[in-house]
Amino acid sequence: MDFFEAQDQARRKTWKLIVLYSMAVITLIVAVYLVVLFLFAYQQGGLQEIWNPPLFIAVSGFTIFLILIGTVTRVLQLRKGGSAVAEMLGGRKLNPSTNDFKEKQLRNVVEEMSIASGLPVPDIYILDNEPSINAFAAGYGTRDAAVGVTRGALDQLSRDELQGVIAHEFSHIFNGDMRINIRLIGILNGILLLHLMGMILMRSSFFAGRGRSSGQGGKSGGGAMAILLLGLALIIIGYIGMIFGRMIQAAVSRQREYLADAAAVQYTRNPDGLAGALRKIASKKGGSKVEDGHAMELSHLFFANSYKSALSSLLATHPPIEKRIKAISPSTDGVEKSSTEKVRERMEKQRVESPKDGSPKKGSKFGALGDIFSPELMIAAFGTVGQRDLQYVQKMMGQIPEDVKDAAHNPLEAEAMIYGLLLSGDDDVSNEQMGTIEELCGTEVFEAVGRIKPILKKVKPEWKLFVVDMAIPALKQMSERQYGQFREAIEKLIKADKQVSIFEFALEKVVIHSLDAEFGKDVEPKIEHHNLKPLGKELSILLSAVAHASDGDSQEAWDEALTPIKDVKPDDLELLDADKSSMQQLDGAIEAFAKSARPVQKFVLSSIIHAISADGNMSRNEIELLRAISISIDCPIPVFGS
Amino acid sequence: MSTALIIILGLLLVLFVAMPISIYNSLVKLNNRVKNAFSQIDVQLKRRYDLIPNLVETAKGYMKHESETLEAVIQARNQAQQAESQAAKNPSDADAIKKLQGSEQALTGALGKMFALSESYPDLKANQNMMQLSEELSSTENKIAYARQSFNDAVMQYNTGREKFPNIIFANMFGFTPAAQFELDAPAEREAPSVSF
Repeated sequence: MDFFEAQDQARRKTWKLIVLYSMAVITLIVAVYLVVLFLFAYQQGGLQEIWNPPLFIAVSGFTIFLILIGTVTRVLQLRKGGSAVAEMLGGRKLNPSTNDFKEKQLRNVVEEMSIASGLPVPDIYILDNEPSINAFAAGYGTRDAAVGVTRGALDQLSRDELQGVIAHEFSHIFNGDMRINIRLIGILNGILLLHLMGMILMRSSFFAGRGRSSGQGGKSGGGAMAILLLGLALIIIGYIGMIFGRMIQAAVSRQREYLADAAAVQYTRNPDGLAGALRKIASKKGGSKVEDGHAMELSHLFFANSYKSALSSLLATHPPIEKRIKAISPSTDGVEKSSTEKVRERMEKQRVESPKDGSPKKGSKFGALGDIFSPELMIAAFGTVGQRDLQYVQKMMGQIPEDVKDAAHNPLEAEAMIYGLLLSGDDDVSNEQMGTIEELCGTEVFEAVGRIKPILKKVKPEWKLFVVDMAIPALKQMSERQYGQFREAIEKLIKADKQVSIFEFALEKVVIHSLDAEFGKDVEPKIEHHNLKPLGKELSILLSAVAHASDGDSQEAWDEALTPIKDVKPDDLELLDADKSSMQQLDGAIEAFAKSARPVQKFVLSSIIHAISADGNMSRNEIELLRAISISIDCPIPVFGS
Repeated sequence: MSTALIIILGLLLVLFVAMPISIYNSLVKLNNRVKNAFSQIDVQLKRRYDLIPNLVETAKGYMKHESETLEAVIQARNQAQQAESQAAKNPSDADAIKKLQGSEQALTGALGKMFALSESYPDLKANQNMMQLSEELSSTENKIAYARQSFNDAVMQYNTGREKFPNIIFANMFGFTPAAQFELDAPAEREAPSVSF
């Protein structure tokens, strides 16, 4: 199963979840109905009928309404992204310009992994009040993801161990687990509301009953008693419901944890890091327990069990730590091949074997570049972190000067840096651009751009987009008003020289796409296209742009692009002349593919990848265009560094 | 008890449970934004407090007759640092922010005086170390000004969210007090931090 399938599955309603949810709801309705029936009998002195349709309708209406309210409000709340979940847990957003050593280390680990995998750098949260070792990932899509770690994890884990934990969380992001997790939280909250309602009913009737009992007795006392009993029953039913919820949670979660562990080892190629973190949890008193009140509800989100229940083995959202350690350190006893090892092998095999596009392998063609540029392997690598990519990014991070990195992590300088990258080489144009900056953004920003210009000269051209990636978290610290100015300024700066280069196009896509999600300007695209056939015009524009971005022969790239889609391609495809389509048209075409289902996107991307690797060489233009496209359709593509 | 009554009771309860919860959540979110925005200012303020003693130390060697002014800078810096650590504990506490604002203005004034006096010490102006430090100071001040804008925007959003109906009924109940903006532009001080040498 590759990235597209995993995401697609997560996007579609998981039937298993729905079945379990409906079962829980039906059970709850029946339980509430029986209680109400009993209470009527108690009040009217005798049971009349067990089957009372109007009552049943009222009860089920009430129960479903309550559960739905609870579910929908929570899901709506959490739809706002990973940060909403992190803040619910009492998380503090890590300041990108922090001076704290440990916080910087965490930031770097997350940054390296996101840049290597092509994922927008997620928000990082720290749970300051939690001394135990734990971590979580939350979000709705890949764009609004957040990862969080507890204070204990930050203080006690080494860099390698932290990397293992973060890799585990990244796997949750890639596998679409977060979306399922949020649905789970919603379900649990609906059931919780039933329980809460019981609590309130009981309390209110208790106080009401006490207030009146001195004056009147008899019937109203009986009414209060009935409400009290109803409340009590709701509490108990709520509890039973919670056990149901827990079981759903555990059923969905445990398998995914093994998978995430396996993936983490695959990403880092270092089982010791993850195993070390797990061992520290096992040996620590309190282990991975999270104190926050939401810990139980969000248990399936965490890296390791965040609470201990009496029915641990049945309801635990995570496999036992010892088992997980054993699973990822295959050599400990060597008796049997560990399950994680097996999962990993299966995953790797599936990923490499999955492309059935039928295009023959042309290993020799890639010559010295080796297999990493074989299109099949590249597509299989989407939504993963390759160890090679990670090393490449780590090396690059080491080479980027400190002052550039510092600037990327400070909101003012990050903004200035984006402007600096857009400044034209032509003096007249760049003076005009500087004028725009001063007029739109004020003196502070203007001065900062002046300061940053010489620093930017130290950044190699091929690193520029990575530096932009690095700057995104700092840019998210802008206020809405500042962001409004920023957007306007970017547009004006790009248009200053009357033409849009591929780099400018990619930069705008990367920045605006990531930030619009933060500032609520862009909602998740609605899927409009499930088929490639009607998208002939858009695909022509897109593939022509890619073909022309090649340093080699455009026609060759174009022909290569058509091989993986020959069975599904639209009939009206044609290679457009280089000057025939504008960047606006390209933008529109990309937009259409952002609104396409994952399988369609996979065809488009594999077609693009084939075109790019047609001449056995990836030019900077090609890489930047690929980046612009992939970010726009929320598909993380590794850096393919070598 | 009729079924209609149960339903009405249920609806009312939902209203009284769900509404406060959602209001509480939205206020927490806005309040968190204020905190986040302050942490951005905080980092830069700390940076500035670290820079000032070095700056004064360098100036001491040249401005021998101005020890009073230099002393005043250090004093103002220490006070501002105290106010900052208070404000960092709870950035939506209006009093703490007002206090920080006052002591920051005093510090800016003292620094301005020092730089004005330094005009008559050409050797100091030419000192490499001094040039570097003041350059860094002015860049830090720019960062503070920028972060202050976004903090003030966050405060405004929080206050508006807090005051609108029906949030205001619950805001006080949950203990959400109004936050204060962090302003540093009293006209007298505005000219002061011209640290251009």
